Amino acid sequence: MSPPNASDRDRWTRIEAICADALEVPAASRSAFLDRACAGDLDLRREVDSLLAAAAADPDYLARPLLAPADLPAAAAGDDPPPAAIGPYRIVRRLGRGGMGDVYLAIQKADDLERPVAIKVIRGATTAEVLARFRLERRLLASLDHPNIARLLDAGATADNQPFLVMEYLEGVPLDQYLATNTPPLAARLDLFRAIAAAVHHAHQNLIVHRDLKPRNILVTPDGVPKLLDFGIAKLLTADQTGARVETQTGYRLLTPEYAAPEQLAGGPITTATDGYALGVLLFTMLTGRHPQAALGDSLRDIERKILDTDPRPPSELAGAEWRRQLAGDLDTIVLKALAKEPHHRYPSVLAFAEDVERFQQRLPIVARPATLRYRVRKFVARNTAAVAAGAVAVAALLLTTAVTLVQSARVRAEAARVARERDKALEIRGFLMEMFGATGADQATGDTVSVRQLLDIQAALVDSSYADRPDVKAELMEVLADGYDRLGLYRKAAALATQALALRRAEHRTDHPDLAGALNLAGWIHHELGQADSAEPLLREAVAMRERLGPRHRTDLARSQNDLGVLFNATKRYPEAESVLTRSLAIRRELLGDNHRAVGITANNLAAAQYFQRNVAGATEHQTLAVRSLERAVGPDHQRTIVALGNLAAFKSVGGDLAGAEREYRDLLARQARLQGDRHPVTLRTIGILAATLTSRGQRDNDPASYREADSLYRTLIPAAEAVLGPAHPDVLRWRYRQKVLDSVMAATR
Amino acid sequence: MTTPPRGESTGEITSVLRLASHGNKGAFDQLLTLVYPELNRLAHARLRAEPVGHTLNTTALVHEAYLKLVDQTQADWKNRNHFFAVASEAMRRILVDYAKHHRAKKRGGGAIPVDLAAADQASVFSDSQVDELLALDDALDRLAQFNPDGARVVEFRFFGGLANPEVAEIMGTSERTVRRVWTVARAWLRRDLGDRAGFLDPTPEGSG
Repeated sequence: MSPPNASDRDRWTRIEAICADALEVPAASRSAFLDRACAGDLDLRREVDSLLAAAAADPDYLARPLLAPADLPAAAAGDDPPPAAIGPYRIVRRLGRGGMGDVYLAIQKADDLERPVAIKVIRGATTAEVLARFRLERRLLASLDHPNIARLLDAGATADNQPFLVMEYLEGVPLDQYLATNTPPLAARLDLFRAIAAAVHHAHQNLIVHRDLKPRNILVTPDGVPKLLDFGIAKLLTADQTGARVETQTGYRLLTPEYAAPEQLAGGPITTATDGYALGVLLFTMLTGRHPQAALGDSLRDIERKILDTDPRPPSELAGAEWRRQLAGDLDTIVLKALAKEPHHRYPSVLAFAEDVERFQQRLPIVARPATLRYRVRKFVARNTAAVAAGAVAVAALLLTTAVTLVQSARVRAEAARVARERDKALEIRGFLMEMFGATGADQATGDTVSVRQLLDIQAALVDSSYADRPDVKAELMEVLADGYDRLGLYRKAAALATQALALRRAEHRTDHPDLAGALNLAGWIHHELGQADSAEPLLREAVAMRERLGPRHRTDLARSQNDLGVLFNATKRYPEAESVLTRSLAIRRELLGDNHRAVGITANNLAAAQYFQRNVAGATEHQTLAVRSLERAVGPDHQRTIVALGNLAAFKSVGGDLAGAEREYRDLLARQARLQGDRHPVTLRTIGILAATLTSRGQRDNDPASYREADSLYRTLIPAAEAVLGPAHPDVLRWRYRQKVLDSVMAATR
Repeated sequence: MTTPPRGESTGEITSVLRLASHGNKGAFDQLLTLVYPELNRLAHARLRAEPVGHTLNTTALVHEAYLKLVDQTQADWKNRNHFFAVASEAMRRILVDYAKHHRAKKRGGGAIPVDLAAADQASVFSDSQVDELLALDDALDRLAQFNPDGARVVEFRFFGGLANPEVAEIMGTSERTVRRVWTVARAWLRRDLGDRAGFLDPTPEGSG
């Protein structure tokens, strides 16, 4: 780089004047202003554009003095230190955080005896409902005494009057993890299952329904003993309550839809048969490693639909080859009986279920019989009629896959076909779009954009002019199309359709409704993408609030709304608010979806950003690590999202002083980018530049000539390549030249 | 550097300040060497007094130094502004030295010559702030090569804690000009330092 001289200053004076003037010109006429001011000087224009972009990206940069009051953010929310003691128990550490409380590991000291215990305390405000829930749990646990149920040892209230429960502290791992690590043989799995069933049966004998049986609520101790935990949403069955309906707003602990029985989802009566169904799901997953309704899909609506409408496949079809023959036949029959949609087709009790498993183990004839053909036909007719009435359920598959003659009027049949066609069309568009933009990871794709857009335009025109009599179908199609336009970056069109769809939903649903919440979320999100934060925010807030009110079955959707609102907060620099809402979203997603899910990766990434901008680099690094891991597993290491997340992780490590870690991540990133986009793509070049800078920093810090040498050789390749691709006056190129010069002088000095 | 005896320095600073405010270039440098030790002492006394995580207020610090160092009976508003200009540069050096020291201590390497009264105290900066600060210091030097006014405005505002009217006063220009210079200089710095945070581009998720 030539030494700075008067011409550099003159050039800057011109750049500065144009930039400052441009910022005083209304945004709408800015581009025209710049055309005039730069008068065809492309280098000048590029420079000005990039400065304006930097100004817009971070208008508050350096705006506050380095040392000023209230400069540092408060400690990260939700990370308050555990108390030193609760009652007579000395707290060791926090074991976990649940929906309504914290669980701590504590030491109980009594009569020269020290033993570890687990203490569950309500966190935050204690509403009457929470207290009632807590008292009930205590009462239920107190009535249980079984080797496979975690024991209640004590209960009390803290100094500030928060009630707590003291439980037996169990070392062990959750059932799913235990099975994955130890891979016990079939007989051992069936033994484990029967021990769990025995615990559930014991609860039933005490008139308690657990209602939330799932692998995560079952701990296996190092001795291989399963222990049932968490009666947090258990229910006491009394004569008058036996027939009571499940309250979907059971408040704070929420059922897990994957393990919920159909009657739980449909709001039917909860009986011991409900736990029987969950045990059926549990046994299915213990045998196959998969859920009976395999590939449940993302949305809660899909999960519910499948649980309500799809018959599970026999476990033998999904199990590994070595077990297939052992499962086929009786075990298939046992599991499918436990998973019957109607409670009265299941085993009459959990005990009977467990006994049939035992009979199988002893090679005795089992009690369960395959469901009859008549039973299946009757169910099919019932379901089909219901679907037609509901208007929006996938009927097509049923019509195609069955040859059963239905007694239906022509009118109903025609209606069903029409609904099916509309659904098909929507699904087809959605599937097409997913394939185009979701699976490949090529966000900058593709040559076919025009044809996708044409498809959308045609459909949009059709939808607009029809379905006046079916506002629900119309709204749904509009949402699919809005989604499509959104993916193409055509936000205005997307916003118009989403707004119309929302109006239809509002007219149709005067109160809380899942579809209305979905429309609010979609419209809010698209407005956010349009840069209209002011109109996006109330919509997203309303979506979050409504989904909170809609209760446990809508938690997956709630997490999505919370994520989207968090993104909006991030975009408007309200990082503490972003952190709070994203933390909640992430907790739900991790709980319901597991860490290997794309949605977990995305929210973790967003949360990391919120923390980074509050200068919590450690928190940001932790969540970014989770994001990368989740995305690598969910969408693959080469997906655009994974790559961006990896870049963030590297940057966080660098900022946090972990230069070795940053270097490793940048190398990894570079390898992927070079493979995917070529080693001369601007993005790849940029990563090379950053890697060189990181190596230089390492060289400085560790006084390491090898790092310097590698940085130097990277610059030597990078600069000519970047000059060819970006042009010699590009700011990046200038920066790299400068840095190489500095590096050269450092290297000369150390020699 | 040593701290001059109090009474002597007050008189000396006041007269140097008068020279500087009349445009004497050498007086500025002299002033800096006089102001630096006192500000450094004040800053570190304050850093010691405040537990980690608390912050200190540059503006208050500079005012305090001014009151201590300058004979108030001889001072006028013009002197005051020149003092603040010098103090801003001194603050930059103090904070950057402090950051370098912190980094050296943290990483256990590299002998960095520092003139710190209290070398062993806890840091008010996090590691990432240290890195950001040192990178900014570096970038400001580069900016000054072709945009000295921009670099000064950033120094006054960011390190000295001065507001636009004071900066305009010191530089003998309008507030509007200060605002324009300030905005574009910050954009340049932001761009230049952008890749410290690399690909920091949180990917939002849509509802699709």
